[in-house]
Amino acid sequence: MSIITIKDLYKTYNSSQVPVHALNGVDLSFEEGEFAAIVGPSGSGKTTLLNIIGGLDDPNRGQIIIDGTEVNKLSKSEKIDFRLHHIGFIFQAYNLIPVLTARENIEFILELQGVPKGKRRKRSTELLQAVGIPEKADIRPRQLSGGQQQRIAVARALASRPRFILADEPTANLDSASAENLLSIMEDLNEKEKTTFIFSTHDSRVVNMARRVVMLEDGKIKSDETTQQEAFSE
Amino acid sequence: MSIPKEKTSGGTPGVMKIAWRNLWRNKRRTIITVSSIFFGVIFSAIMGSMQEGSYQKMIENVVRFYAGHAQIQHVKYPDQESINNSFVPSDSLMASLNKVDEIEEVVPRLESFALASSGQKTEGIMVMGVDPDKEDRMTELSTKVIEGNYFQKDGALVGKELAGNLGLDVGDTLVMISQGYHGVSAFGQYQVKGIFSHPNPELNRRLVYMPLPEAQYFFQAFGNVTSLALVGASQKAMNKALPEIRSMINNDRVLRTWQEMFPAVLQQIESDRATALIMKLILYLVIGFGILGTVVMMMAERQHEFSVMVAVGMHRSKLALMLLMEILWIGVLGVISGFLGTMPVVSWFVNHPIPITGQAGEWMKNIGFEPYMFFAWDVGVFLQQVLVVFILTTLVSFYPFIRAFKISPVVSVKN
Repeated sequence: MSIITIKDLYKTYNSSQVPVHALNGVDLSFEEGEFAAIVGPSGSGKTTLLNIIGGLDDPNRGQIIIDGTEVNKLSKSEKIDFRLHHIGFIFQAYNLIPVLTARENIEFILELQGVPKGKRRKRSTELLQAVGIPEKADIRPRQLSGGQQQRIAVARALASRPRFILADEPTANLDSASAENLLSIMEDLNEKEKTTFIFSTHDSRVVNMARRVVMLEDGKIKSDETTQQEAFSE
Repeated sequence: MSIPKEKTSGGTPGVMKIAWRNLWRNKRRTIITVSSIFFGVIFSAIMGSMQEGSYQKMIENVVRFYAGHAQIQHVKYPDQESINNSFVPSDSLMASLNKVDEIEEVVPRLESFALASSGQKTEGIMVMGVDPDKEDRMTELSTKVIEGNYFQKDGALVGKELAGNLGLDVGDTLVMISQGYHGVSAFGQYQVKGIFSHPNPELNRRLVYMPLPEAQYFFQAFGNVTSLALVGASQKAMNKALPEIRSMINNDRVLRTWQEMFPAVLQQIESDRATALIMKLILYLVIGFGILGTVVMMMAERQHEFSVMVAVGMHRSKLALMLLMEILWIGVLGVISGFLGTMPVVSWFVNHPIPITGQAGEWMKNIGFEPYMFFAWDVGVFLQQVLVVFILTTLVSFYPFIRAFKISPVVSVKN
């Protein structure tokens, strides 16, 4: 069953002298529980597509339907609520809140949702265990390594049990070992929590692990393949 | 299936916590900003306490040395201060006034003018008939007697300069002539019981005190007074009692507060307050721009972080609240530390007024003021700082508040 349906999506940036057509008629859908990677060269429209799916940006034309809700028709405030309750974000630069501890960062989303303290504590403990660094619960981000910060970011993204997670180049700033470790954690969580993961990436390790690879070029889908983990090589 | 649109309701305690912690991300900057408020509060509160101390002393001079907190007079007396506009206070009025808890003293007086002679010298004078005991309790007149003794039933007390001008000493006879009640001729001679020195030089030059019955006899105004001065436990107590007192007097009498009798004093205080307020506003304006500078930097540095917060589901209103709290925290810290710094200083000077020496001190004495810089504990002074800092921080908050609503979550994805 499709959790995300994208129909005839167009996005043009007019900020420079020449209009840039970032998305040029994209049609796509994602099923529940997918572990998918969107790949393509720089400027192919990967991040723009992710932004629009996540309700961070608006398309010029087309529809994004998530579980029956046309996201691009929501008001700004409704989009924020929508993101809070249904989407998890993992950023390339981790983007943890520096003044909060690892645990508080995980609980931040839950606190915004108004989840009671006891439940928040239970969920954060569970996720700290899942990402393998329960001993770092009370440490602030600057005292964590890049890999550890990204694990906390993954835990934060999963905290509210969102329907899907959008991860933009999640391994770009990590060394090989940390990247592989993180990917295996995400894959594990994908299987255990049945959360849909959609990556935008250049990283072959991510692509190799993805069960579906969508290739974008010049804002259009060049290929869309359901793969085995070893199918892609850069 | 459609996605339910949950409403977010939580997060405010977390926002407060984040706001507090954010303050200490750049300790030096926060300390400098808080310090600017700290020094502003100290300067402003000490200046305010000094001003209020001076005003209180000025008011005390008016109230305690002459007017009382209020006076009951004949209805025509304010327009024409003549002995013909005196009145006989009824026993029932006196009894009623004495029953008012807020009134400490009811001091009767009969005031008019006369010509005073001694030998070949004559001076125009003001005669004030007073109840010696009550007057002493109100104005501490006996402490101002520098030669001779305080009077009881007869005789007169003469101002220092007047005595000098007329060549009078204690025990000499003062001859007075005047027009009495409703035009009768008034003539009398009185022994000088004492010579007083009043802080007000005009009173030293012109004033003669007499026991009230003697003055009433002199002016042939038996039982009459020109005023009943009322002294309350405090201004606040008197303000509370004024309606009750008004209800006791008939249409031929009028109740006048010291503010109504001496509007110039009040105007001087108000004008001085306004000048000081302008100075304080300039000071706080400078501090305000300092805080604004901090806030502008803070916003610029954390633009990306704010985008992330909005991206993951924090409403812009909550973000604005967080920024507002950060600024309020700065204000609260500045005010509290400022108060802690001010209190010992003001406390010391309330008990140890600063003496003014030299020509300035002499000048103050000449115009009837004690040569000291007085301080006062005035809650209003401290509340004013709270209010000003609150307004200041609220105004400064507009910038991040408006910016918060323009934060784009798109920025968060790429960094």
